[in-house]
Amino acid sequence: MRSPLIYLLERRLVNNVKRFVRSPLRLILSLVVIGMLFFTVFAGNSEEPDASELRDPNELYAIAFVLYSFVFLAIANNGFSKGATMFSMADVNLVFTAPFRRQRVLFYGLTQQLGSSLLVGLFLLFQYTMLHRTYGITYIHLIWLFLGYSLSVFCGQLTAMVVYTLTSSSEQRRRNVKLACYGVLGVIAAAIILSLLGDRATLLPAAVNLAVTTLAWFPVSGWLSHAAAGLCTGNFVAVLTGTLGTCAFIGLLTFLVTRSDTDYYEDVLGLTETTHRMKAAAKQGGMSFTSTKLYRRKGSLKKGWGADVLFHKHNLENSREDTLYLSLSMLIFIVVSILFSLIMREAGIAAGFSFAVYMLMFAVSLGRMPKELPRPYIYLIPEPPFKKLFWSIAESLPKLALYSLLCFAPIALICGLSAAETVLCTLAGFSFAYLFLSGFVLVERVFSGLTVRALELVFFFITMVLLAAPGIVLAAIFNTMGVTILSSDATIFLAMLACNSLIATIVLYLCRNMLAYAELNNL
Amino acid sequence: MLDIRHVTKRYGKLVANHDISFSVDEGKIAILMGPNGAGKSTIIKCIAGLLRFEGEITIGGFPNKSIEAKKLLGYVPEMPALYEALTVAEHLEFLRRTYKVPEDKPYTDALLERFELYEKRDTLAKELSKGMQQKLSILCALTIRPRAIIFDEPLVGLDPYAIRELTKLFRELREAGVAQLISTHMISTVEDYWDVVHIMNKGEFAATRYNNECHEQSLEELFFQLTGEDGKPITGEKEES
Repeated sequence: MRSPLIYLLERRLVNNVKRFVRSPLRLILSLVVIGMLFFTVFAGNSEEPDASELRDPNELYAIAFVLYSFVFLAIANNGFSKGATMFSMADVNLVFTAPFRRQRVLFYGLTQQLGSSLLVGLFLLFQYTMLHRTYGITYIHLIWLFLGYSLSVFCGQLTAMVVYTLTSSSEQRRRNVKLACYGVLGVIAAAIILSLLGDRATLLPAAVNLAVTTLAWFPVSGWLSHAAAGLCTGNFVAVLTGTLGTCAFIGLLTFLVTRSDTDYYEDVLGLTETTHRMKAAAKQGGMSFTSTKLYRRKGSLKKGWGADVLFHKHNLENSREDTLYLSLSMLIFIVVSILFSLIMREAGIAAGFSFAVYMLMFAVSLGRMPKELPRPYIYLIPEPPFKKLFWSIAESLPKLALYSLLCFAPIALICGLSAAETVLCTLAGFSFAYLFLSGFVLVERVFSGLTVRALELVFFFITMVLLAAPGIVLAAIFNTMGVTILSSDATIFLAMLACNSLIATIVLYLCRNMLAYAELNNL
Repeated sequence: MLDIRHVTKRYGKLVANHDISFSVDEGKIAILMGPNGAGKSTIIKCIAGLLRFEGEITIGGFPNKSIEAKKLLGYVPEMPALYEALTVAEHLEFLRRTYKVPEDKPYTDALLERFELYEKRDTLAKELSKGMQQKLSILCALTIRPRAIIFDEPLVGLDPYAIRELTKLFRELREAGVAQLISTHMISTVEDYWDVVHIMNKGEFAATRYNNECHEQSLEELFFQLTGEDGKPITGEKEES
């Protein structure tokens, strides 16, 4: 007789597939995603890159190492605080209480976690065009990179769960393990920095070399990026050792959990309940509390009267959620954008600027407005809708201005632009931030009623591309016609600045009544 | 105070509310009852100005989406919708300022005391239990001193003490002339203070009963008679007030 746990996994998978097929919206979404995937392959393969212009693929594997390390360590770090869970509330109520051996339940959890980890890395598959043209990789290489990312997420989750399970019974033990882990990582980081000190001109090649050689020994992220690099270069020993190392790591952690005296049911219960509450609340539009740590600060809500109280409230909330003015995510986006422009310096400002604008799209969505919309108060407040709209996005504007300054100015300087061009580059970057902010409002206005959030995300990207297109087209026309103000780069920035600002203002004006009512049936 | 005229709400082909009409006068308590999916929350959200609808809704004579109407209305949602990074006291301060209500510390403190939140006034909403979040959600609606107030399942999650305080509050608000519309499943808790009950089924009013009329059936008996197992009204004419 088939195991009930296998039956459960199978039925959930089949029913989820059916749900996609039966829902027109989900079906459209699937087709759009598949279509976009084909498009990236088609667009990438439409023009074979000149082998002499390809960049060193080791750069890509060094980037993969950094990315894998970041997700692996960031997720694993949760083991020192809230732990990790691979189970849903239904699992807790129905599977944990059923007469199954704990090991079997753990394997069940691991299997479903592996499935969800695969979904997390899907975004990588859309990078084919850029990666194929820059590094000449094939789709097989990309799938390997994608699997490496998903496995890093999976291993991060498993590590967090194991660390939490083994240390939750004793605060002292947890502190010691934490200290030991942080100590080892600190020593490795110091060694990396020391080995890279020297000629600035060779900094990047030296860092790349370090990432694909010595750091290939680093658990999980090093092994997986090493395996990916091995596939590209035909070094199958590297593929085998990297893969086997990761499998052994997973096996070891699983063994530790099953052999430990601690009851992992209890350890995952708290976080499972919290996650369930968050999901349920987000679905019903109620208390969509996150697991964000709140930093209690002095300060209270003593300013504002009417709609502008929203602005002061948002600032107060921000100061409690982040220790710095810009959130950690924003700072990461800035660093990643600058690193990208550093790597792509030879390709000119266009590559760095485009990538920074792409990252900016995500930075814009970090504002407080999206968190405000699912709650009823903003609609109930007796103030004109446009006033409420303005004050609800007002908190984002100075943040995005600072973000633009910290992100686009260094990129312009890295690419060797003049002072005037750097200023215009920064302003053009901010104009995209303003444009995306208005686009965000537009998406909320038009697509907020969609029940499939992923489809809303697709429309979000399409809307942003459509809004940004006129500025880019205008810049291209000026460039083709040879219109020059200051310089060709300055002209392009000016065209985008003017066009984006105009479109963003028009969009906000058209959405001025957005907060008159919600039309959300989840409040 | 609350006037709902021929309101129909559709979600695509699904008619969530069909031609609903009723009113709630000042100092009256109207109860909305009905099985799950009857359309109670939908009509409440229409009145609160959160949904588009066909028909007409006025609050104090003003269209419900006007600023004047919003000033008069308090709304307690079914799920507490609070801000995780604000304390209990800051929630009340936020709403007082956005509604431009003059500061009245004794009133605010009395509300906090009454619902056992005074000691928790500097606690972040995130750190409150589910029941306390519900209490805070109720206080958010009361702090703006509304002339009409809508409660969507206000008793869910409350402890017996809070239920007693809230039912006392319903009566006090009635004495103060506030129009109240309360949606609830808990028939027994409304037996002794309602003025009018609307029983909803499948998006329509299956019956309306006034407390000042003589009835042979209890509210509970009538409810189960009208919302039988198959969800169809078994007996009784469909009424609208």
